[in-house]
Amino acid sequence: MNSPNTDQHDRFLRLFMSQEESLWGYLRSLLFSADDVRDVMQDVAVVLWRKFDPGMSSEDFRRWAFGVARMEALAFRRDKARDRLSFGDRVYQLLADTAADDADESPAQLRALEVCLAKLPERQRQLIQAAYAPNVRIDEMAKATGRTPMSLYKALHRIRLALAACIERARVAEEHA
Amino acid sequence: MKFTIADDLIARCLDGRATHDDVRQLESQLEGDADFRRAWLRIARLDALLHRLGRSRGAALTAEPLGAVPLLEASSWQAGWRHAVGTRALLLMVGYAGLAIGIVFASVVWAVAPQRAAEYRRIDSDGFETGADPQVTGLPAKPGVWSGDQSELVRHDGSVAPRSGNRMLRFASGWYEGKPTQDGQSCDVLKLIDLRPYRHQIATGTWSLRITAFFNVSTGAIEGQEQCSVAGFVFDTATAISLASPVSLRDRSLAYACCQRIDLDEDADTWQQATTEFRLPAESAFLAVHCGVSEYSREADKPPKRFLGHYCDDVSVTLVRRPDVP
Repeated sequence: MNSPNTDQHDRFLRLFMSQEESLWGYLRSLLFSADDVRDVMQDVAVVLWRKFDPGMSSEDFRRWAFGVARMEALAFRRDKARDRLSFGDRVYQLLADTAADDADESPAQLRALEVCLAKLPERQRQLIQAAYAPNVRIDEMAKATGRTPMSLYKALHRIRLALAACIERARVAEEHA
Repeated sequence: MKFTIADDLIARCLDGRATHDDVRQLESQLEGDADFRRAWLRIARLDALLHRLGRSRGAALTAEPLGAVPLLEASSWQAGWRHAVGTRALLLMVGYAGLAIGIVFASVVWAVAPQRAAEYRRIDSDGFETGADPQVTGLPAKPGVWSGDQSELVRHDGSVAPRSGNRMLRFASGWYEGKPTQDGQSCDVLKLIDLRPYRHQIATGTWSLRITAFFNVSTGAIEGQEQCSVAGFVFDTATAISLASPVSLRDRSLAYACCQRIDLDEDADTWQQATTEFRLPAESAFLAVHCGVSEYSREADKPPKRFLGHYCDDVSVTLVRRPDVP
């Protein structure tokens, strides 16, 4: 028989993993640096675990998790990113509400992303793979490939839009399946 | 796809190029338009996921032990994601006391791990899962496509099952239309890989390239002294490849390397590994990966050989940077 702590651990993991991608996305929508997102996400996970109530329903957990993420992002902005670009409090709340409402889409989005990446032409897949590798600077990558940074940025965003459109089609198809 | 002003604004914000005015403009749209909020969240979620995939892929490859069979069998981002999931699945087994720290990110673990002896970046991995048979036209005409002698993709075939996934390549015969007949005792397939996305690394002249492939033979299919091999040839332009023939590939390349031919055994349960590694010239832009099986023969002008049950699977290409010897 599992101990209460193990049960609590398992339940937390299940709930956390069900919301994890949405939380990442929410923080990314607020913070303009991917590194900042990682820092805040670590704090969010720690707070969620420390204050986790095993009696929570999954819906309660979801709302609570986005609230914690919002508070941690605000704290980060206050303590470490005061001089950086940032949205106002109202947008933090609006995006938290929208993200919590749409959080159920995440597992479908993940599955779809796998498929959509595989459908990309080889060159586009290589480009986005190279651009999102750790510690890559787009200006250096542009220089090395003989392109202008602007053309590379545009190419990358076109690929992102293509992936987003592909994922959306998959989501709609899954809804109607 | 049309590139609208809003898309441009979103791109600047995601890519860290936003100005104060950009942020105010984005904020205004987010406050007033629920559909725009939803769209912004979706693209942000996608961007976050791409960053995480890139990071998990990088972390996994950095942690690849020197000289070991790679733990991550594919360089695709799907594989990167599976690695990330695997990391979290592993976390399910750890005690809850370490959870708050351990749960968050594998990258934290990598960051405090002892420094490795070498860096690895898997740039291509092919388990022949695409379903498209290789072309039978000699040298491949474009990157990402296998071409060469007669071969096909098969599923479980006789006594041999794919090493991974659902498909593997079966070598059929040492022949394609126009092939010099003296080469008919080997069945060779090649794939071009565009190295230009890694040019900024390769230009440092400090990276090597490692190619690994696995081979197997079904029981009773070996007729003589049969061997397998892998090789790599790098070029500075695609034109150099199109001008080459299989025979002149070596002469037209900037650099090449092949492993010592390995005698095939008839143990259908085990796959034999062939690996080669060589230092990349700084100008390298394209790579031709070669995998082949052959029968040693002293006889000249034999008809092209038919291979009865010879397979290849899991061909991977990895950039390797080894530390300088002190």
